Amino acid sequence: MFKKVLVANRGEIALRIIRALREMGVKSVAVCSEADKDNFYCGLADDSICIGPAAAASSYLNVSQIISAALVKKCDAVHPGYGFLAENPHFAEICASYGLSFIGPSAETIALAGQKADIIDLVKRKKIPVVPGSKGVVANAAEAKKIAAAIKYPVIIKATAGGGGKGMRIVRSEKDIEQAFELAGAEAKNAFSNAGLYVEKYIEAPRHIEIQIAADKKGKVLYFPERDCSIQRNHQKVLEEGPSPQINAKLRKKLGETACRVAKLVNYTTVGTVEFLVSKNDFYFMEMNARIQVEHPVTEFVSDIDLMKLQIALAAGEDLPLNQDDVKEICHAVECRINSEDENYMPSAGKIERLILPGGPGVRVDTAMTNGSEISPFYDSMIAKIITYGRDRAEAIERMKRALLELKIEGVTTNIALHQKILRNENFVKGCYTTDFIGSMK
Amino acid sequence: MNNKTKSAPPAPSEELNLKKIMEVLGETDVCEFEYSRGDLHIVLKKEPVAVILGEDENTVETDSASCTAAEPVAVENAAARDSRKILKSPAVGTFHISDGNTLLAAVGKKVKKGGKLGWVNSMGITQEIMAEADLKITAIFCKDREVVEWGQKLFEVEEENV
Repeated sequence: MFKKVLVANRGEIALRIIRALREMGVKSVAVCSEADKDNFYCGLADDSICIGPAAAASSYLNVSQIISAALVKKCDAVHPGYGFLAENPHFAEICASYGLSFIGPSAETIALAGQKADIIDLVKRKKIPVVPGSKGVVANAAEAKKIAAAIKYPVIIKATAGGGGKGMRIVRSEKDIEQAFELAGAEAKNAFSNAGLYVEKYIEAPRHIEIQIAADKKGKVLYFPERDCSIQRNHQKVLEEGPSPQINAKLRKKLGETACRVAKLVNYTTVGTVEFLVSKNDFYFMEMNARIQVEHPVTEFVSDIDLMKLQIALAAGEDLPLNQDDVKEICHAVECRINSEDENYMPSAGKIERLILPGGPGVRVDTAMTNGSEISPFYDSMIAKIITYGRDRAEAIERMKRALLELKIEGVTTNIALHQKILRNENFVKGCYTTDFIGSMK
Repeated sequence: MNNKTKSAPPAPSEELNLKKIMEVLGETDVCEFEYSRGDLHIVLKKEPVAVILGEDENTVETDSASCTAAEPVAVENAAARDSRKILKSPAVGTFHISDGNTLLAAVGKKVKKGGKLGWVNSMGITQEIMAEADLKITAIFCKDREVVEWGQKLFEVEEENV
């Protein structure tokens, strides 16, 4: 097992990692930017070090500062969390070259999973269903037009290195494709320093289902019950639940086994997620996320397995301590991402003047915010993740409603009201929703 | 540099517009504004902005218990205070003021413009701390070979001929 781990992230996920390390008896070193220096979670780590100014490019994305911090603090591993450098294969490679274990899959696997066109090509060759579309990167708008004509509109243009809805455009007719291609390319270049785009058939109103997997270095892979992440706005997840109310046992098994096949294809190790679009009983591989996910607590509740500890143990070379039969669905869980944002989903920076967090049976809150915390314009606007579980879906939802009533955040605008509206919605209560749910709810 | 202006108090009918005064203060080379009337006493000060690394600071205190190579020196006078600057670490790494044989920096030592005060070694890359003007070292906050974080105070220096 590792002796000391550098936590190369910030906010709630940094705190989550620090907590797991503490429980495992592994020392932790928090990194922080100048803006995060006074955040309480830095004090919960065994040590902390300032790595740069507030701007993420000079701190949390600054590879040399992070590696240097790990070396001077004599760490033997680096946990990247999610976002920032978590899916940067060069970072994983540099960690290895300095003798630091990267808590995640290998650099080669990250590189393959990150190049969406390549991994789609790979799984397609193994007869895993994928959404029809371009083979690899599309060179220009004219080529995109040809592909769209072949697979028929509507189509979606996506960034090969993308995520979070960036570099993505839905195109419903030929007249719009040139402009959409240019805009998506420019957005992708700006966000990921990679303007590569691919085109695929746009599946109307699908469900976004993801399968958590875990894999050890001996090639053993297992899957967990799915998370339904269909409740999204601007292609970003808002509320997740597990298991999905729309997936039956047969489809669950099929999805899980397919996810394990994908993981094996890319020699995946530690924990990761395979995402699918599901339309009725058909499913299509969408992408693989080579990291711990924001919504991992949903699965932790559903399976009663600590994924963070499992990830760290697997990265340290331990064998998977479970068999597939050991992974059970013991409850239902719902997660609400509480963001500081206005009704148009625009992030709102500011100071949290007052924060009262919910508690009581079946409620978990993952946050690094306290009274007086600043929501910085430099970083993600997520304030907290509220996760509830119940013996069944109805109880998990009722607990979430109660938790959101208890939650008080003053000083910044939040999306609590949006979550309350979702939880009251008749179709949500019935479990009948797709990725266009929020759009159709208005 | 330390232009201090005692403003004539506004006529009683005039409203004291602090925001406006601060704007004017920001646009001119006036560094200090004092205003008194009855019990009301307002002092507005503009801090000098000429720094080498990091923000300017007039107090000399160590911010880390492990970070004391020299005793902080007292601030003697306003002119000295204004010519003092804090040099901070440009990187996470190991701070050096000695190459093993020669001590580059010591309190009281004068360094010519372009001279080296020390360096921070970060992943084998040396980032030198250079004098941007003729200066005197008035405090050293870290020990030789101490691990430093980004932005950590390394030196206090006093520019000469200011």
